[in-house]
Amino acid sequence: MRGWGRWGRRLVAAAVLLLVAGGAAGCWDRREIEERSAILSIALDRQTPASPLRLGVRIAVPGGIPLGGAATQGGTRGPAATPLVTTGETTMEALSNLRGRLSLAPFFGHTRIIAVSERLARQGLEDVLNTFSRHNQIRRLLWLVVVRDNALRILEFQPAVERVPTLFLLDMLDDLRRQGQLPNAFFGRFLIQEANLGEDPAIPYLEVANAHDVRYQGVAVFNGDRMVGWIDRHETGILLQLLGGGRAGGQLEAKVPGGFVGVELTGRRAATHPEMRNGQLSMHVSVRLEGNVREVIGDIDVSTSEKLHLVARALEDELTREAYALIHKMQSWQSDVFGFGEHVRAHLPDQWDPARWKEQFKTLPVEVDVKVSIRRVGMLVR
Amino acid sequence: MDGLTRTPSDITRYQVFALTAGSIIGVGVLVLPRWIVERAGSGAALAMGIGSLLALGLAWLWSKAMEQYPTVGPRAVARTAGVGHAARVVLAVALGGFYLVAAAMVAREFGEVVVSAILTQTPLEVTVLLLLGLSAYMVRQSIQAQMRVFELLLPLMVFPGVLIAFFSLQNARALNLLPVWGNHPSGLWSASLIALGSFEGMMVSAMVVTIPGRPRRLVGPMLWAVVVSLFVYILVTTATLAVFGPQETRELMWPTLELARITSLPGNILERIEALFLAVWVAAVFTTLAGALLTVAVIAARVMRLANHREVVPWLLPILYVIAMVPRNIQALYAFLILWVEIGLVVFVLIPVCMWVVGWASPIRRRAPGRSAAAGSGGEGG
Repeated sequence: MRGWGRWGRRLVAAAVLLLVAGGAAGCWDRREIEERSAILSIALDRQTPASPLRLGVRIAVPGGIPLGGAATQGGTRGPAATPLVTTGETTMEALSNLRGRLSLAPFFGHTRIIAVSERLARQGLEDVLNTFSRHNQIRRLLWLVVVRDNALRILEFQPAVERVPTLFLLDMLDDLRRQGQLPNAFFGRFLIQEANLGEDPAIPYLEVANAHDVRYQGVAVFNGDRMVGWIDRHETGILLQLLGGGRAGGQLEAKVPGGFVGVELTGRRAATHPEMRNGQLSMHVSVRLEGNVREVIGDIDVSTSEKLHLVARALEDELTREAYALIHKMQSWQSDVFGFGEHVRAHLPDQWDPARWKEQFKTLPVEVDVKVSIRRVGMLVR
Repeated sequence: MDGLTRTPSDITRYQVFALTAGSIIGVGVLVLPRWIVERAGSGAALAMGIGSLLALGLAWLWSKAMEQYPTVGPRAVARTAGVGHAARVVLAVALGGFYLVAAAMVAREFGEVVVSAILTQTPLEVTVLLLLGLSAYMVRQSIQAQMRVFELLLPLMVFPGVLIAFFSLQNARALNLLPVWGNHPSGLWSASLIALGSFEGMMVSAMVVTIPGRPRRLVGPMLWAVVVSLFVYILVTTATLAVFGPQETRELMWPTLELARITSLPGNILERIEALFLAVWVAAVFTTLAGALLTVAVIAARVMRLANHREVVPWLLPILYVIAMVPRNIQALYAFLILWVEIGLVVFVLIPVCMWVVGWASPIRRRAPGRSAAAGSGGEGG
């Protein structure tokens, strides 16, 4: 640059700075927040493997979502989010057909729920979800849920107490998880469990009763990416006990001699140990529960420590029986939602053969040992 | 001159540390867990540990080799060992060429991540050129100014990085880390070598900074830089493996980025931690690229017998850009990167071994480091 003179050099520097300023500002990706359609939830349905995929989305109406806590209650001036349904052979095609129906480009950064129909889940989800797991905007922390019959019906859902239905469902699922009644089965977790060779996913199972009522029914269980069935809320509680971890929660109603006793769980731990005995692989699960009595029905005495102990024993018998029933059900469905295979892979790598695991799992001897400790009895002494 | 600086007072020990650590921790952080897990499975943490030990060993080997000589640096070695001019040029071109291509690949990988994950509309060329231009601008500054930048950026990338890794552990599962040697222990060795390869930036300061007669002043900070980097690497690899497991980790293009995407700070402070992560990561990429570019410029100036490395930088820019644009797609880029890491392993192990052997065999080693200061600096005025 010698010989250009002082001003010449300054001019070049100014030009370069202008260019850099223009480039660095990222004009190409400049997009105002009002210039995109925020997709809050996605619903997917396909009646038979041969029929086209139907994709429904709920879009946030710009300015329709009231800000602040007080404003979310009530308010009846039009919907805050509006549903739209498209079709396509694949998910990507259905998504791109959306482009012709929206005034603004869809934005998936705020998507919180992906709902799939039970019939679609039973056909297998891997291909349908591929474009989402590949997408740079889709969050892995969103909820993937299975809806009984037709998932598109969830788009008609309009709760009475919340203007944005998606947020209502989100809060409901988050609350169930916090209470320990639902596994922490977010989308990313589903993908991990599906990828793991010794584990199968379990995700929330919802039912749309009517336009104002969506019910959490339990969890849908999978074999790989194919749904094989679902278990109710009580069985989900048993599953969570066998998995351990997470926050304990939920009420247990157990039949004990003389009547029923309701126990609220406050602590939940589980340890799974695979063992080789005489050349036979087996699984040992020990469950430790802690809880408080919340309800006593019939002629049951909880007034002394010894009596409480008896109630705990009865509860243990009941829970052990139900645990075996659940394990046998999962074995007949070939769905290793307990992750027993991962325990074998981790602790007995010599015995681990991913190709044979599903066969081994069907007949795997499992031993369950449940210990319940009851600490408190509430505001009544007996 | 054999480097940029001649007196110990020019650069503080902390600056040497920051330059080395900044050059090591770079763009590779995003892909490293996948590379390691692909080879070692659940043994990734162990492989990273072995690789780190090897890196410490390599740093020690370099320090031993350098201690053989009154002045530090391969050129001095070649000169004092009686190797001819041609051999010296070959050595310099090999090292300079290695860092030149490495710098181009860093810029390209940066562009690929940005265009895939964040700014999907912005042309790759613009991102790559901007980063290259910024690094070139930095390398044209005085060495003191550059060291200040390294000094400033290092804590800004290490502390938030460690914080993110710790918070990501909320989704971690210890089972994913077992068995510690992996389900296919044969892959442990190659995984460890790739892990060692991730420390290839550590030689930057050995090329750039010369402190006549005081090799130990360089060795201490270099070793500390390796220690800090290995801590960051082990933490990131272990956290990624613990969260995603040995199967899902190898499915993800940038597992570390996904880790940031499923991590949120508790209490809804930052629901999407990836913004913080990307800010940290840009600093890491920039320091790696600037360190490599500085090395290339210094070596090129030396080979061409220029007094100042700054004049080389503008000519390097188009070369870097062209090299960066060579890979046809992202898979070709990573295939090439892994090859380059392997080539680097050969280069960085062979040079100190040769230096050490030649030094051991030649009469130079009888010069005690303390006495040689004056003779060394006098003899090296190239």
